[in-house]
Amino acid sequence: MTVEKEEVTVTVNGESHVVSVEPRELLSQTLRERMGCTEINIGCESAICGACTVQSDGKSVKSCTRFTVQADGADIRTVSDLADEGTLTDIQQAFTDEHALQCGYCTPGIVMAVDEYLDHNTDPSREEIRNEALQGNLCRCTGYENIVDAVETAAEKLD
Amino acid sequence: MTPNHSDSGIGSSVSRKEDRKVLLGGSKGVDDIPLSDALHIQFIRSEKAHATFTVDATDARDVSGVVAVYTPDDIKQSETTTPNPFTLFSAPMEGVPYPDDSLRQRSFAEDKVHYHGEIIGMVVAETQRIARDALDEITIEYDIIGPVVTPQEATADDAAAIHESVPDNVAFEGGQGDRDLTDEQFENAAYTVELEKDAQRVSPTPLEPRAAIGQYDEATEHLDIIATTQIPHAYRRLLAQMLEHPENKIDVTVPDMGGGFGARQHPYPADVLVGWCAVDLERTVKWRSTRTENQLVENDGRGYEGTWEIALSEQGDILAVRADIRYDLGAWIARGAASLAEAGNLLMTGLYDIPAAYSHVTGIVTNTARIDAYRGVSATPMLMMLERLVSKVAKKAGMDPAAVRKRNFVDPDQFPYQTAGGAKYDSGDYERNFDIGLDELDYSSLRERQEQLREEGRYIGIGISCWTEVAGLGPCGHIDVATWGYGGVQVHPTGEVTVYAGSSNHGQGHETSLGQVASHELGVPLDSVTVVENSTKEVTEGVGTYASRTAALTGGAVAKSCRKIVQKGGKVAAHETGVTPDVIEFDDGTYYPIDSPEDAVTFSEVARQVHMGADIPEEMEPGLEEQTYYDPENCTWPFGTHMVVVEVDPDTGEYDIDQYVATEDCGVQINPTIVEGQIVGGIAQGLGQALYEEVEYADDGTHLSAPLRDETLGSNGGYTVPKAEHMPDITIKSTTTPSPHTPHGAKGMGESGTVAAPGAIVNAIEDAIEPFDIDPMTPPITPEKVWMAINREGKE
Ligand code: FES
Ligand code: FES
Repeated sequence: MTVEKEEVTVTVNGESHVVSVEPRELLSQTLRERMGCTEINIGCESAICGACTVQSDGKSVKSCTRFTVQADGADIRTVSDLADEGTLTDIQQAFTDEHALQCGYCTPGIVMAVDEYLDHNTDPSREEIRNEALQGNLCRCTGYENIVDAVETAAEKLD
Repeated sequence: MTPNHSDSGIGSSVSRKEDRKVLLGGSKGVDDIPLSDALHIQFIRSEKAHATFTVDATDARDVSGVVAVYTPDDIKQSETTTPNPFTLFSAPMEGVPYPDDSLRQRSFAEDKVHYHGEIIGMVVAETQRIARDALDEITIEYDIIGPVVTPQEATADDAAAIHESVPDNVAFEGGQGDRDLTDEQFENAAYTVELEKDAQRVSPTPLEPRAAIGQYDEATEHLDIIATTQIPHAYRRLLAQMLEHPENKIDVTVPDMGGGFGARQHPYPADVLVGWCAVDLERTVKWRSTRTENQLVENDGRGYEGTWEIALSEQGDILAVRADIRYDLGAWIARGAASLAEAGNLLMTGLYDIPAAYSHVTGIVTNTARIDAYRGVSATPMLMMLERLVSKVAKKAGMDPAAVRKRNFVDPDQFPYQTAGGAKYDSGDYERNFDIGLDELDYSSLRERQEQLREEGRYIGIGISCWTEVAGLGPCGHIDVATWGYGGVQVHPTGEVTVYAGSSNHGQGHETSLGQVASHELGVPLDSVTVVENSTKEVTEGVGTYASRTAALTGGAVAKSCRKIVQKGGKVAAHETGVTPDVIEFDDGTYYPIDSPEDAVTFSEVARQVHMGADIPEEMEPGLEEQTYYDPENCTWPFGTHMVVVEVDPDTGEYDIDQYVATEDCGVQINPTIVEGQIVGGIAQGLGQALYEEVEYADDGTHLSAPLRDETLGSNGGYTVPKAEHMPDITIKSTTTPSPHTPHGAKGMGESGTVAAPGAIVNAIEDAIEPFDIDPMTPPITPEKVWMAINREGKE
């Protein structure tokens, strides 16, 4: 059984790639398996956990439920692209300052979701952080409180 | 320059060393390791819970890219030894024999399946996608046997036997405590309360699904395993036994792992078969589970159902507690499962001075996946029930639940305290810790406010739950595997330090906390300490991370190794400064003779000297490296209380958590920030058990809770893990009552949240709706259940 492959052009962390993929190939698979973006974690494959969150044209998306063919022409960013030559961004710095990660499996996805959220809401309340900023992400280790603290701290710095 | 260890030593809240790599996207889990020539395994798993079966793999073998298909017959007929059954960690409890050998878990089903998801073979292919596609080409014919899904069904008269050699499905049975005295106390009680509980299986659900890689080198017969486990050295030992492969020709490495919570302690059939397959094919093989596959077979926790009772005197003294427990083990007894019966019994009297206690546990096999350790283990059901009973019996006697607790706490001068359940608590100052929580809530005003609000038609409730746990499992001889802590410390000639820890970091921050122990003991900055863990290649020995053991036991072992080093260095400093070692002081990384501090020698100077072997005492060997197998005198017994304030809307059954205060005493804290992180993380899991989480099976044994879901309980299918919006802000208050027997007074503390939160939250909700004369609630408590309790039939 041969499946038609499609050619897709995506920019990943500033580098342009042309790949030929089966229509069923998921963006998370392309990024992890073809581009070595193993910072994207796969916790559920069903759009629940958010560990696979990346930004596509500035919007956070769950790469496990997107087909690569849908990403044709997109500009994808992962957590690896945030820091500037090893200097952590305010959000990343706040995550370590506030002890907002334990095992860290959820972290790359959460940081990308928060990074986008703070673009729209620069001064969120704790409730908004819980209900909106972290709405699409699960963390099984931290109990979220320190993540909420980190988002608050980062938002203050961004002001 | 004298390093100042107080900046980074024991007690300082330094930021974690492990964070930067994660935040830069550099973590590497099992599935992230680049492998050029790996074959991919997909397991053929049973879709039925109880059936005999035949399997036809002819078509799958023909799929292009498939390298091998193993049916049960293929595995048995291979030249590679068929894996032996799993062994058990220990007998269920003292005086109770090991369960029948036929109940020890097997790596695959030969002709009969015992639970939904059991392995009946495997497909090995060039890519994971081909292996998955080939799975669809396998035909399995089942001949169904009536499944028994709950302990009650399994022990019914006409229940089918899951294992022929155990016709009644009872794996073991035994009690701990003084039954006669307990019964007598109940007869003399002024007030008694009895509560039922169902099994409420919960899933640990680490965020990373299980995975394993096996690499076999034919020439050296070396098997390299990379896996998701909390116990690399013990995992290797078990694999060696099961595969009949020399232990010194197996290595186990654990890369960055996305959580464990007890579920990643003992290996699973899949792990064993990955190793087996690598040997059989003499290739590199890899398996990575999907979330659904992970949830289907990864061990659940708890599984305790039955009756719990408490007896109180007229004056408010707790006279006795009693429990009759049916313990759902799943289809096979997992390696740790039997021993959890004893662990729960040890704690059955909680923080109270109760003269009599008796707990009877019947271990029962059912057609379900295995039960084993999950953070809190059997302490969670035992203490949730105890704390619910204390609150209920207090109310029955017209007393305040906080006052009854204070009246019954073990007093500080009673330690070491022998419990009626068989534990010996090391230290405690319960009331002092408890009062801090009451003050934080302003408890008596809150009770008044509760009364006032009720008059206005608003219902708040206050829930209290005290806790302890068997933290830092040891000493050796307690159970049938080694339980010491291992810590090796090497001082480089430059004065830098490498710690080799026998524990396993997968979120707990050991790189930081164990580094702090070395920094503290040796007076070197934390930045000069590297911690190596999670590898049998690099670390000589270890028993892993579980049972809240690392701070006390690995930390203890590291401290002891450091102290040996300091002592050896002292001899060198004495030699150097021309005094005897007994007058040498060591402080903040510097040695000096007590009478001539100006003759100081730094630790790094000494390190260089010992390494070179020149100018050291004659009888001394060069090198500055020590190891310790630390076998503690006792476990450690941390404690605290969780207090929760909720408000319930009686019209809808919905509730809000208004306040959550956790008091904690885990002895000396190595890193208070990490301690707080563990507490809050545990509370989220405990809150999950109280309000959202339950693994469900259909009547035919089909597992219904495999995919994660994004909704609260109520519909069948899926499993809810609490989200940020479900969690309240938590206030944490600590006291410090050092353990008298660990090297720096630390106790373990990783499980407090999962032990205390369920009881505190359930108590709070029941307290809120008490005016409605409700029946006891059954967690997970959904708003729907609250509404039903308030509006149950027969009530106006
Ligand atoms: S892996 Fe994509 S949301 Fe969980
Ligand atoms: S830190 Fe482990 S899942 Fe979030």
